[in-house]
Amino acid sequence: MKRFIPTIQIIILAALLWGCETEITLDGNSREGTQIVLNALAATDTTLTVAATRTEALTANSAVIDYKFYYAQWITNTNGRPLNELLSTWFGFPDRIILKDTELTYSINGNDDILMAYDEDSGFFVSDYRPSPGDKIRLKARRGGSIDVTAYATVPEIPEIQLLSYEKSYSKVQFGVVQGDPYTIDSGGCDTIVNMVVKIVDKPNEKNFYRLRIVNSATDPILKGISTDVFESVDPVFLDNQIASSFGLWPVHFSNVFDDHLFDGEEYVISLSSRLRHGTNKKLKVELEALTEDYFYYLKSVMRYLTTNNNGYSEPIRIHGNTSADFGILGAMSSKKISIDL
Amino acid sequence: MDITQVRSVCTALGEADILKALQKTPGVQQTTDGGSGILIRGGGYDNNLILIDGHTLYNAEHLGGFVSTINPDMLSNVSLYKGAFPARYGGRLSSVLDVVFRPGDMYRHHGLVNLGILGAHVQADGPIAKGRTSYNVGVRFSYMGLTVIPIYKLLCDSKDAVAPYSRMSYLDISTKFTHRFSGIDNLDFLFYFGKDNDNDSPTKNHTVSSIYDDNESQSNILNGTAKPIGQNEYASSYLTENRFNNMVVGATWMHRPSDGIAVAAGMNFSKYYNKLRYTTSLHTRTDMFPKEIGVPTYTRTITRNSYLQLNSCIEELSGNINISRSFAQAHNTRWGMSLSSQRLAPTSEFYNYESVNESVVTDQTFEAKTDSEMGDKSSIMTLGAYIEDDWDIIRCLRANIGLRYNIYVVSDRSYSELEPRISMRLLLGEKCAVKASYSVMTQAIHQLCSSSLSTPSDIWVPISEKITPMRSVQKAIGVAYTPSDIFDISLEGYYKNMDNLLDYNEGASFASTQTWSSLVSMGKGRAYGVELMMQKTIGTLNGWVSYTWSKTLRKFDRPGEVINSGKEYYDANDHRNHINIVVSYRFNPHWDISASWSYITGRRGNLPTTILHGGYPTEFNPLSGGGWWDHTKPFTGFGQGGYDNGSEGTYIQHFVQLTSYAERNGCKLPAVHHLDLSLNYRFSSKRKTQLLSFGIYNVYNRMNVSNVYIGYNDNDINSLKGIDRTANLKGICKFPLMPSISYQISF
Repeated sequence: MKRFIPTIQIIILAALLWGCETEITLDGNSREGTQIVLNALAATDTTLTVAATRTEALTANSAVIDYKFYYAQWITNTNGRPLNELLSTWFGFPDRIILKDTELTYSINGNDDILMAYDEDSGFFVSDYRPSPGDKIRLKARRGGSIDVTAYATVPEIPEIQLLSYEKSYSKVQFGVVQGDPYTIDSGGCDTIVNMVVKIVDKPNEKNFYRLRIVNSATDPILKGISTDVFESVDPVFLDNQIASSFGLWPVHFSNVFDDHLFDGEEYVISLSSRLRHGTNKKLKVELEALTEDYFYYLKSVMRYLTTNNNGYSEPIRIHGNTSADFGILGAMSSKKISIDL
Repeated sequence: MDITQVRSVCTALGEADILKALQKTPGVQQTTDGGSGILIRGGGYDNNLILIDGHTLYNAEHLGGFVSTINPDMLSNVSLYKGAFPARYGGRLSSVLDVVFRPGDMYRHHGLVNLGILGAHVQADGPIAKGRTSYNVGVRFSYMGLTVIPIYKLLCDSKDAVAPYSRMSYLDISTKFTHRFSGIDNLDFLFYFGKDNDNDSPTKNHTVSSIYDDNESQSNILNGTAKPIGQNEYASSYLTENRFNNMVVGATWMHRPSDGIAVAAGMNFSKYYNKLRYTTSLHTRTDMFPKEIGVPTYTRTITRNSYLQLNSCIEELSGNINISRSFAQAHNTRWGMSLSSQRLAPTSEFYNYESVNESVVTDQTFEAKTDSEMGDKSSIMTLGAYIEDDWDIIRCLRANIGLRYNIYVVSDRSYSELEPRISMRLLLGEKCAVKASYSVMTQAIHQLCSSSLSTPSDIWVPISEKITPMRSVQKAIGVAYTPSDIFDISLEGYYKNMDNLLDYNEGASFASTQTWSSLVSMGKGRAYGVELMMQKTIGTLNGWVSYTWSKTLRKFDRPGEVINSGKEYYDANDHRNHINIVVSYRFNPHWDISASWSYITGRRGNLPTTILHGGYPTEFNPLSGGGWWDHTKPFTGFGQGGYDNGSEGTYIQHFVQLTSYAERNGCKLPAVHHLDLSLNYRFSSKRKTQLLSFGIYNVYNRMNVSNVYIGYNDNDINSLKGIDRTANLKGICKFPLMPSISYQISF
C-alpha cells in the first residue's frame, strides 16, 4: 500500500494543477445591458406616461446590488425635492439608467404613431392621451445601439362594484408611539374604523383580473393630509400563498390583487374593514381596478419580490414582462371609484 | 447490463460504476457532470425507484456523485425499466432500477481487493455451511486523507483550508446471506449501510484595499504615489457541509412448491438521512483617516455569521408477498401485495447574527439575531396490489398486461390510484420487432430541488391533505432491428404527461420561518423524445453509439399556484441532445483498451443576473418599512403614484430597482462533453487474477461546469479605489483532466 501512495499523490497533484474554476457566459443572458425597459401603466383616470430605462448586468456593478433596498427607500422619500435632482446624486442615475434619447411613440387602435416627449423634471416620457376602455395601445421604442422594443395592451372595460353597506365606529389606538420619529403624528386617541360590504359583478366567459383599493383619508392641520390604503378581510379571494411574508401592515399570504377563479361570471360579496388614525373631513374611497393579465402577473411578481429576502437561499424571482424585450411592462387598467364622506 | 459492460465504461478516477455506465445508454441522463445520479425521460432524480434485491434504496450517490452507492463487486445483474413498467413495480414515475446482488458461492471462497485513487474495495464470498448457507460481503471506503490531503497541504497557504477536506469521505458495506432450507425454500438476507461526509467548498477570502479620493488620478493610484484617505478590510468564509446516511435491511423468503409456481415474501427497513449546511461568516471594516490632527479615525465594522441547515430523513418499513404461476404455455401470471409505512422529516434550521459598530458617530454596536427551526414530521401508509400476465398471444405477438392499485393514506386523507399497464412486442420476421407500451405510474413522495444554480438543495417531502400524489402517463413506441448477429439497432420514441408535480414558488426561501408546504406549488409537466442505440456486442472490437433527443417542460398555472406567470417553461433537467460513443478493443487476453466520448446539453437554472427598473404597486410602498406608521401615511408630495395625494390618477412608482432574469430556467450551462480513456492489463495465474487499470477522464481537459456563482475580479481599478468591484460569473468544474490508476487482485 505504501508503495502506491506517492504515485497516487503525483497523479492527484497533476489533476489539481489544471484548476477547477472558469469564467463563463451563460446561454440566455447574452442580451444583458443592451435592452430598453419600458414601464407604463395605461390607466383610464390619467394621461399615459412611460419610463424608458435600460437593463444592467448584475455582473457590471456589484455595489448597486448591495444597496438596492436602501436605494428603494431613499428614492420614494423625496420630501418634495425634484426627482431629477435627487437621482443625480446617486450612482449617476439618470445618465446611466434613463434613456432620455429614446424615440418613443404610441399608437391607439392601429392609428398613426404619436411621438412622446421626455419630461426632465419627472424622468418620464409624457403624453396628453388619456386611455379609454377598449383602446388597443401599442408602444414602440427605438434607440441607437439597442434593439427596438414593442409592447401591446388593451384597456379593460370598467369593472362593476357596488358598496352595499358601511358602518363607522371608533376603536382605541392599537399602536405605540416612536419617540423622535418624524412620522410620529399621534400619541393616543381613537382610530376610525369603517366596516363595509361590497359586491363585485364579474363578467362571464372571460378571465378577469382585479385590484381592490380601499383608501381611508382625512385632513390634518400639520401634515395636511393623511390616508391609509391598507385594509383587512378574511375573504379567500385575497388569499395568496406565494406572498411569503408580511410587508408593512399587509399580512402574510394576503394580496389585494386577485382573479375571478372563485366567482367567474357571478356576483361576489366581500366584507372589508379599514382603519384610519385621526384627522378631520374623513373620506372613504372604494376603487376596483380591472387589470390586464400581464399587469396582474407583473404586480404579483413585484409583490413577491418585496416580500422575499432575495438572497442565495431563496428561489430567484422573475419580474413579469410583456414587451418584445425580456423585461418591462405595459399594463392597462380601468377603474370604478366610489367616494363617500364619513 | 452485466458487470463486464459496466467495467468497460471509463469513469472519473477509474471507479467502475453501474449508474455511470447506464448514463451511456439512450434515455438516461446525468444529474451533473461526473455525477452518478440518473434522470430518465423528463423525470427528476426522485422519480427513479432503485431496488436492491427488491428493497428500496433512497440515495444512489457517494460524495455528491463521485461514485454510486451500488457496489459493482456485488452485482449479479441490473435491469432498468424506462417505460413498459410491469405492474409489480410501483411508487415512482420514471424508472425502475432493479439491482440483484450475487449470492455467495455455496462451495468455494472467493475474494477481491481493489486499490484506487479515491478509495479501496474489498469483497469476499463463499460458504458458511457448504451447500446450504453462503455469504457475499463487500466493503468500500475512501482514503482521501492519505492521498489528497497531503497534496492540499503542500498547495494551500492556510492549513485551515485543508481541514474540511480531511472529513470528506465515504464508506459502504454490502452483505448478502443466502440459506437453502431445502430444494424448494430459500432465504436471502440483505444488509446495506452507506455513510458520506462531503464538505466540498470551503473558501476563504481576505482583502485589504486602500480608499482614494474620487478625484485622485488612476495613474497615481497605480504607481503608488497617491495617498489613501481610508482603508477597507474584507474577510469572508463559506463552508458547505453535506452528510448522508443510508441503510437497508431486508429479508426475502422464496418458496417454489413445484415447477411454474413461486411464492416470495419479503420484509424491509430502509433509512435515509441527509444534512446540508451552508455556513457564512463575513467581516468588513472601514477606516477613514482623519484630515486633521486630534480627530479620531472613523471606523465602521460589520460582522455577520449565519448558517442554514436542511435536514431530510426518510424511514421506511415495508412487507410484500408475490406469487407467480405459469398457466399452460401461453401465460405466466404474477400477483401480489405490498404494505409500507414511510416517515419523513424534512426540517430546516436558520441562524443569523449581525452586528454593526460605528465609532465616532455613535460608538455603539447594533446587533440583530435570528434563530429558527422549522418543519414537521409526517407519515404515509401505502397499500399496493397488482396482477400482471405475460401472454404469448400468437407466435409473433407477445404482451404484458397488468393492473396495479395503490392506496396512499396520510393523516386525514387517503388517495386511491389505479395504474393500468400494457406493453406489446410484434416480431416482423426474424430481424425486426416493433414494441409499444402504455403505463400509468403514481408517486407519493417528492424530492424538492432548488432551481438556483448557485445554491442547490434537495429535501424529500411527502404528499399531504393538499398535495396529491404525482401521476404520469407514458406512451412509447419503438423498433428493434438486428441486421446481423453482431449488430443491434433500436429506435424508440416516447411521450409522457405528468401531473401534480411540485416545485418551489418563485421567492420561496429555505431560510424562511415557513414550512416547506407553504413554499411550493403543484403543476403539470410533459416530456417527449427519441432514443437511438446502435450496438456491436461480439468480437474483439465492440461498443455502442447512442443518441437521445428530448424535451422536458413544466407548466404551473393553477389559481394561487402560478409559476412563470402560468406559462410553460423548460425544466431544469431539459437536456436537448445527449450523445455517447463507447468503444472497447481487446488486443489479447492481457491487454484491452476502451474509450468513450459523451456530449450532453448543459442543464438549466435560474440566476438573476439583470438589474431593471420597474414600479411598485402603491400599496407596497417601501416607505412603509413595517413600522407602526404604515397604517396612516402622510402625503409626501411625491406626485408620481405615491399615496392618495389628492390626485385622481393611478400610477405605479417607476425607477425602483429590481433584479430579475429573462425566463424561468433560461440560464443554460455550457454543454458538457469529454473523452475518457482506460487501459487495462490482466495477468492471471492458476488461482488468482490481477488487473492493473490506467485511465484518463476528460482527456482534452474540457472545463465542464457543474455550478456557478458570482465572483469578483479584485485586480481592477475600482477595487484599488475601494469604490466597487467588478463581478463576473464563475463556473466550478469538478472534473477537469483526471488521470487515475487502480490495482485489483481477485482469487
